[in-house]
Parts: sequence; C-alpha cells; structure tokens
Amino acid sequence: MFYCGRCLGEGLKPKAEFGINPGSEQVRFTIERDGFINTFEKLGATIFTNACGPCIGQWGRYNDPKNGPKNTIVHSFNRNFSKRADGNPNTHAFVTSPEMVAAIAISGDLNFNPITDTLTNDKGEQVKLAEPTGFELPPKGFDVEDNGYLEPAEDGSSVEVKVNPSSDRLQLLAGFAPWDGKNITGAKLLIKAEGKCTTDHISMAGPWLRYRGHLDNISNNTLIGAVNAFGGATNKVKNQLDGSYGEVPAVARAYKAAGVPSVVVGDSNYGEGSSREHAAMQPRHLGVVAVIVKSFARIHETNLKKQGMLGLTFANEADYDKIQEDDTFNFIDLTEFAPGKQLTIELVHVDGSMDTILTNHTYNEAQIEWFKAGSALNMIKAEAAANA
Amino acid sequence: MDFDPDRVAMQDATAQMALLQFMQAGKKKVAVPSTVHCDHLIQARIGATADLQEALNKSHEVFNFLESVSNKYGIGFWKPGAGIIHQVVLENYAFPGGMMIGTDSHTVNAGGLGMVAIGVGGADAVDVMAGMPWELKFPKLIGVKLTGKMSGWTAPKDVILKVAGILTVKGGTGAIVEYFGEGAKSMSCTGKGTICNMGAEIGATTSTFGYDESMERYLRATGRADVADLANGVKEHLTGDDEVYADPEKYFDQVIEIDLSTLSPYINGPFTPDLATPVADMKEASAKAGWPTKVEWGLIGSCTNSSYEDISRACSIAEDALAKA
Repeated sequence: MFYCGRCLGEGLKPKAEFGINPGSEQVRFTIERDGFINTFEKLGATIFTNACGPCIGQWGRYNDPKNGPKNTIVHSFNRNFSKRADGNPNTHAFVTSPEMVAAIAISGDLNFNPITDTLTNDKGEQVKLAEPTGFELPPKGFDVEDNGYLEPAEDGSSVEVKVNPSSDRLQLLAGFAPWDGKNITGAKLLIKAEGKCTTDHISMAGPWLRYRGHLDNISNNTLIGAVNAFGGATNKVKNQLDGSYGEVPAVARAYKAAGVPSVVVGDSNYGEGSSREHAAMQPRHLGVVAVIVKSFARIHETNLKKQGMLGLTFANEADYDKIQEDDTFNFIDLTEFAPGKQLTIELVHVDGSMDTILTNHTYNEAQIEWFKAGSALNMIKAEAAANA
Repeated sequence: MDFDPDRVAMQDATAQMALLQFMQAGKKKVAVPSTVHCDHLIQARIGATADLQEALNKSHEVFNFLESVSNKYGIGFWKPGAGIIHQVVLENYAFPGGMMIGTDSHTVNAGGLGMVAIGVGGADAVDVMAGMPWELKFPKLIGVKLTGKMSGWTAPKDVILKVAGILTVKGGTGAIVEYFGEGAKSMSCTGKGTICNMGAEIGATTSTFGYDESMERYLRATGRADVADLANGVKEHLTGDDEVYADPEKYFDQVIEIDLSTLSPYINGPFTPDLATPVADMKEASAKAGWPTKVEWGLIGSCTNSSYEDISRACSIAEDALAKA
C-alpha cells in the first residue's frame, strides 16, 4: 500500500494513491500557479500528462493486467466497464465526483461517508473532513505559457503529408475501384455469420487498434470474431478454390488474388456497435462485394454504402437458410440497380442446383452513384475535379 | 434529417483513418473548422514528463502524420500533452447554439456550453469536412428539470450519476437530453459539461443546456468575450421558450425532475456506470455484493471532471486533510 512518509509530516496520511490527469495545459498551468498541484504532491499524487490516460485504459498499472489482483479504485471519469482503466478484469472501478474521490482516497475505504464518518489522524484523534469549497473560475484568471496548439498553413498546397512507405501503422489509401457496369457473377461465399455480429466481430479492437491507420494490416482481423454457420467455429472458413479451410482474412485474400469476388452473409442487426468505418473498409479492401443479411444496424449499412459495397437484406428472411457453404452468387439484375427495386441473386449450389432469391436495399439515387463510382469519396473527388 | 455541423473535432486514434480518407476527397481544405487532438496515444505510467516522452518515442510517426496532414488541409493541431479533446474544445471552440460532430463518444461534453455536440465515426467526419450534409435520425427529447440548489458534498457529477441510475445505460438511446430549470442556472458551465459528458453513458445522442449566465462567465474567462456578446444579443433564441419549461410534459417525450437541494452524493459501479448507490448506503451495498472496500487508487481528472472548479474543490479536501494534524 502507498504511504508517503517523505511528504507528509503531519495530518492525515492518504491510504490510497492519488493520480491526477489535468484536462488541458491551460487548466494544468493555472492550478499549478494557484498551488493546487503542490498540495496534491504533498499527498504523494502522481501528475499524469494532460491526456486521457487511465480513463481509456492507457494506464501502465500492471505488467500482466489480465491476471491482476482483485482490488478497488475510485475515479471521477465517465466509464467504468470491466478492464476499462487498467486492463485488469478484477479491478472494481467506481465513479464519483472529484471531491468525493479525494475524500475516499484519503480514507482508503470505499464505505467512507465524509458527511457522517470520521478519520483517525497521526495523533490518534478522530477528525472530520470539512465540506469541499472551490472556485467556479480562477479568481486570478486562466493563464498558460504554451497551450500546445499549432495553427495550420494558410495555403497548405506545398505541405507534404508524412507517411513512411515502410510503416506498419500508417498507409496512404489507394481508392477503391469503380464498378465496371456489369452484373457481378461467380462470387464465392466468404462466410455465413451466425448470430450476433457486431463491428467488434467484424473488426476486432484491442491490440488491433495499433493498425487503425493501416488498412492492409488491420484487414488481417476482418471477421475473425464472427461465428461461421458451417461448423460453428470462429475464424475458420472454407476456401472454395482448393477446398481447404483457413482463417477468414487469408481466404478472402486468396479469392482476391484469384480475381474472384466474395460475399458475406449475416444474421439480424448485423454491424451493431461502434460506428468505426474500418468494419466496412476492410471487407471492401479484401474483395468482398456484397454483404447480405437478415437486417442491418443502420450506421453500418450506411458505412457499407459509402465504401462502394452492396448492403442487401433478404426479402424473405428464411432465405438465409438457403445459403450453403459452397455457394456461388450471381447478381443477375445489378445493371438495373435503382432505388426501391429489389435485386435478384442466383445461388448456385455445389450439386449444380440453384435457388433464386430476392433482396431489398435502401440505396437512393445518390448512394447508387457512390456504388458506381467505387465509393462516396471517389464521387466527391470526381466532383471536386470537375469544379476545379 | 440532414444537418450542416459548424465544427469537427477528432482525437488521434480515430483521426488517422478519417484523415487518410479525407486525403482521397480531392479537396484543398476542410469545408468547416476542424481540429485534431493528440490525447489517446499517451500511456500514464510514471508521470507527465516521462510518459509524454515515451509516447513521442513510440508514436511519433502517427503524430507527425497528423501534424502534417492537419497543416496541409487547414486543420488546427493540438500536440501531445496539450490536453484532452473535450476539455480543449470546451475552452476554445464550443459556443452556444452551435452544432458540432467529433470522432469520439464524449464529444457530447460541449453541451455544457449550449452546443449540440454529437459523437460519430470517422466516415461522418470525412463527409462533413468534405462539405457533404450530415444525416441523423431525428431524436426523441428527454427533459430533466433541475430544481433547488446544490450544497455541501453534492456536485454536478451527482446529477448525472443519479440520472444514469434512473435511465440505465440504454435509457437515453436515440434521445437528446435537455437540462433546464433554476437548478441548471445555478450550476457552473464546466459542471454542465460533466453532466453532458456522461450523457454518453446512458446512450444519449447528446445532452445540452440552454444558454445562461454561467456560460457567459465561462466564455469571458476563457478569452471569448466577443462570443459572449454575440450570444447575449440573441439569448432568447439560445434556450427553450418559457412555455416549454413551464409545461415540459407537453413538449418532451419523457421528463425527469431532480431537486438539487436534496440530492445526495452518489458513487456508481463497479463495472457499469448506471449502478448508482448513494455514498451513505455504500456500507450496506458493498457488504451485500462482496466488493473489496480497501481503495488502492483515487484518480481525478479526465475530460469529464478536470475543470478548475473540480480541481479546486478536490484540492480543498486535500488541504483539509493535510491541516488536520
């Protein structure tokens, strides 16, 4: 346990460690000027960078957080889900006001109620903490020396954007290819996802976030969390080109390398969760042309449209059951893609038999143009070039 | 519905793909004022100086990319260590009656200054920076009427901890939460920011307050007297009409009333922000649930609670403890 004999000659010794992360350099500079930092340092507090830190899990509290001990912390942050602050599933994090954090940390006791309870000081006396007092705004005004802001160039046309071509964290985007105007035929099933498939199943977070600026590298997590309806395993799908089984990203890359488009099939509320665009960009990057599901989470459906993909729903939900592991998809009326008009798909099964199914879509005129251009950005780029 | 937001703010994790995409749009500059804030890629370990240097060593290529791409396309750049995106936005950019989007769920913090501020994915930020309209399903309205005045140990945080307990982590989904009443006016602007910030924890699209004198004081204290003067000129349009606040049930889909005079301090958790326990009841609750009661760390700060007011109030407790020999 923490005990700061060095800095506390008198008074109450805090039973817990204190950490402070100021919200901005302006606040930090002003509270230092006004002596608050000094007071916290007398309590042995660690002053962290003006940054998110422990509030988003950027806290190097343990070397092996997954096996961390059962313990309790109190903070004045916003979220306290399991592992959120320190990666330790055994940390019990409680959220309260900053003044209550201070009182509870001094007492070291989650049950401490400063309104009614007393603490024992180093003379053995029972003392009660006074009610908090403070200032809405600094009486001497805010102050800061260097606020850390850089104003952009008035004319940035000659500024070079710095991306090292050998970086594993950043990669300039190439832009997706436009639609060739023909019906898509011969597309292979990549995965038929069963049950819940959130954006975390499609593009897993955690260590993968390191690659969020590198589309090709982060694509190696594509759909690795989704459960394959055939076999019930995650990240194990059939490669129809050679009959082998492999990881989803590897099989997708094999199709892409062979010039074979692929299709993802999903269940209800496909793509719920975070709104991050990687969940749409990655399948697109790996050669997936269509995502056909029972129903979409709305934001993910829009993201698929923006990246130039076909986001379709089964007109008859039960058609989900017609999809077989070795299926080939032919989009036979894509050349007539129009708002409010269903798209027809031939499912060619491995035994040569065939089912024809209808799918719905919610593309408006403008969104169909995104699909034709290859992505919404390609469309914007073309418009910008036309206006230049 | 389509909207044209006034600003875009991005943090260093989500900004990467957003700006890589924006580069594809063929534009010379962003269409609306936009900023990048380097606050996510810094690990807290030893203390500010050493931790910041470690982050620069580890992630310099990301910071260099963000700095250069910002410089090229007219985007304001806040360096690592400059501060947390939502606090910096509140201090510099948020304004009453404005609308902004940000690539982080706690963008909603700017509601404390009377903004409609909404957290979005990178693709939405790209659209707005490229000049495209931004689409949002028109939200429901939840009204929270605050009566009375806080005192003693009760803080603005306790309002949202109480609201989270009432509405749960899903109760605000698809809704804008508007706080109003005498209790709202008696609260600081940064306290309002705390409440709006944690609106993300109940799933709300955003939360906001009508313009009042606390916001004017904050604008003037942060060097924006010009914005305060402009806001004062149209202040009747920057808050709800009297008849709405007089008869909220008629205008809001749901109304919650909280009396600040009797609101007691709360402590929420563990593992979820909507498990609300009054501090006075924690002995019973922790014994029943078997939560470890020995507290190892107390952490103060973050985008939610790192205002001058927050730190000064927490500091008064620290000073009192030091003095009670």
